[in-house]
Amino acid sequence: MSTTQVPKLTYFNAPARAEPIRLAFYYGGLAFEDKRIEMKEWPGTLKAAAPWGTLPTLELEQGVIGQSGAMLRFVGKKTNLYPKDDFEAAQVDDLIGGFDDLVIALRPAIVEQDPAKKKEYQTAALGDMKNYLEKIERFLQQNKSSKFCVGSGPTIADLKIFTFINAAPAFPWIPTDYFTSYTRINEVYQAVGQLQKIKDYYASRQEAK
Amino acid sequence: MSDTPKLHYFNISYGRSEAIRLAFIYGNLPFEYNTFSFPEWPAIKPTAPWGTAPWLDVKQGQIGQTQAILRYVGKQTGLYPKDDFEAAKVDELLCALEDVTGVLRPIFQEQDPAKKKELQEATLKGDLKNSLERYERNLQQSQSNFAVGSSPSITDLSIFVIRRAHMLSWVPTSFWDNFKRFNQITEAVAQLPALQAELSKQQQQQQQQS
Repeated sequence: MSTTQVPKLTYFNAPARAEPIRLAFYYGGLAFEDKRIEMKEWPGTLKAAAPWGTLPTLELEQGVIGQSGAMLRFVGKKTNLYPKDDFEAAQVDDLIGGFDDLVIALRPAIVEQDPAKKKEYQTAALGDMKNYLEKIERFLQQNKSSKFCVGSGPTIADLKIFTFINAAPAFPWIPTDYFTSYTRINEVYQAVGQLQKIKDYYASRQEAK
Repeated sequence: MSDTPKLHYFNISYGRSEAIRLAFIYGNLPFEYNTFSFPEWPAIKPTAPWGTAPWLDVKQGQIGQTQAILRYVGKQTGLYPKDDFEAAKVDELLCALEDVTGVLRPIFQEQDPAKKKELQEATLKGDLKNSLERYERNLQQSQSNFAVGSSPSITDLSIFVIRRAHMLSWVPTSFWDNFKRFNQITEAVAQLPALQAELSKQQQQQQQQS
């Protein structure tokens, strides 16, 4: 196996699970290969080679990581986006875990094909997500140091929330201000969007189109 | 908040709190353990930081997600690698373990004994076998008896807890024989000097109850 010069992140040409990781690399000015594959490339040798049969994968000199949470934490540590303090790190972990639970609540509504059931699941999802959003909002209110989630600067938790809200328009059944109606959540969303590196990333993505 | 960490969980054995308990014990770190029954849970749930159990009270506040707690305690007890790549491997394997236990959830939830047995047999041949085979393939990379690197981690403790869980006593030993690394890691944890006193105590308690 040849050694990889720069980390190689492989995913589909979509935000979803890869986006916070891409943003973390970009924010930290850490060179990486942002490999985007077509859906039709996926089944077959690529999928068989992926450690968990899923994407994204992150190929590093030392080996491959196949779980996006592990990747996000790894890149966060390298780019000043993960707290050195153990308790603050635990708070970032708590937020990311809570957010993952929220995304799981969405899944039945996204996956269901039958239109009647789909509508039912969408209504249920909007209710379920409120529970998580209220918890996340209350959690965010604890931070008095900055507009970000934890401590005085951005972390991977902020990137996770930001990229999720950015992707929400892909689900037209979710009302536009559904997430941003929560004060602290909106504050985090706005604060991340104002970061120069984040603006640069999205500007460069526009040029790529 | 008191200085001694306080762990809260249901009064069941070898659930989500056990790897955390073992991490504290391994590191000889004092902690309090508070348990409650399922009927008591609805009244207690509003006091849990994320409305779930386990959660951990520490001096600075509360931690409410199992993995967050494990990582926090692991860092203080030498059970979480300092090297970023090794830490990422520990995280990856810990995350992936949720997929293994996830296939067991419908079985726990099934109340009817006949349906439960059916589900158990189907899961054994299907989802559990498949998820463990994939997990086992990812355990081949390590250079030692432990999952990552050459010393124990929170991932090894979590694997041990699943393998030894009484809730999984319906899984025949012959099934586990197919998963050599999983068994090897379980044995390596069982042999850790720092856990001997606790594991002996657990064995005695089990014998007293049977």
